[in-house]
Amino acid sequence: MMDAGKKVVNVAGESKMEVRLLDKIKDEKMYFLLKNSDVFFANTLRRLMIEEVPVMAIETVEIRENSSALYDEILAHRFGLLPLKTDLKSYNMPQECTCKQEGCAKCTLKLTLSAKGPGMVYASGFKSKDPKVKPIFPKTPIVELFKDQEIKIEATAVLGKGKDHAKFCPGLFFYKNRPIIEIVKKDQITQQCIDSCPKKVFVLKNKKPEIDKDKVLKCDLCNACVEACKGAIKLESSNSDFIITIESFGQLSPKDIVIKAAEALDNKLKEFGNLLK
Amino acid sequence: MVRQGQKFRRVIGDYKMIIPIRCFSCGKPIAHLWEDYEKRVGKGEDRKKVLDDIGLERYCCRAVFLGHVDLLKDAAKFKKF
Ligand code: SF4
Ligand SMILES: [Zn+2]
Ligand SMILES: [Zn+2]
Repeated sequence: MMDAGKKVVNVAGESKMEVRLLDKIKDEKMYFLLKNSDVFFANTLRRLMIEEVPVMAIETVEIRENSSALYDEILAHRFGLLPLKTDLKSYNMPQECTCKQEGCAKCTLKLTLSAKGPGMVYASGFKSKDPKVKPIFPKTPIVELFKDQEIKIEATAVLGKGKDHAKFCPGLFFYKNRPIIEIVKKDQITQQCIDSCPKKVFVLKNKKPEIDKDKVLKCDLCNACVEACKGAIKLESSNSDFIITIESFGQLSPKDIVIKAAEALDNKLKEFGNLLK
Repeated sequence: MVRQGQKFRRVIGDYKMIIPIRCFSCGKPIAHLWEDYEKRVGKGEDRKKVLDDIGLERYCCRAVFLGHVDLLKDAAKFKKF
């Protein structure tokens, strides 16, 4: 582990950015450490991920029949929020499609759902024209139908961006500053100090208090340790290192989200450069 | 015409009828976890343990589950307007 606050300087004299994968939980969550960067970059990345990475979602719904207890609008809203597995290679954004927004197979996808009561209607009941794009959580309950109730729906899914509607967000993205903890006076650390930390950052090794190197990144800067043992522990937060968490809703993998966000930044800067010429 | 009180009741009713697809606050899809949760809690398991197991860590998502009552069955007895 690198010394806190010290910057890696390359030949040109600029600080070098570093990315280190900390943990990955299936295809849902990813934690990584962004070193030698700054708040502006981390936040730009965050905004690009929630605003500029396109995912599929149901945009228009044609309700042929709905005698369920839910209003048409509620049903349509529920459909819109269903996350759909997204295949970015075979679909275009409707605004950029060659069909000039008329709606072709490259930019829209039809899904149908028809069910008769009694029984629960699940997202798995959706029949998609493209087997690759379908609701990610088939067990999602949509509406419960009772006797003599029926729904018949035709929905159109498109690619969209998070800045237009929250249903097009690929996931959650948040970061915290990396904590820098230092034991200043080792002899003043009591058992009470060690126990005060909810994340168990401090451990006793050979009766000497030490900082657990693996757990220190879990620290959430709650200040409890500093209050429990006055003056013995120094706590700071780094302004250049960030612990970033990406939680995907399932449409894309966390890795794809970061890559697409970086591409979006690239395109924006290229466009800006072209305008300056 | 809908009187204010009625309108308010309808809004409350709508969201309590059936589990929301996503969490109100953070947007995580949660509806697919509901039936599992309901079954396990019905068997007498501790709510905290079940919520931890199904992977709802933030208190926004947990609150949606803890406060939810399925009222669709009762609402279905009445005519829709
Ligand atoms: S700030 Fe809080 S979490 Fe971090 S080491 Fe101190 S007590 Fe533990
Ligand atoms: Zn098209
Ligand atoms: Zn939530």
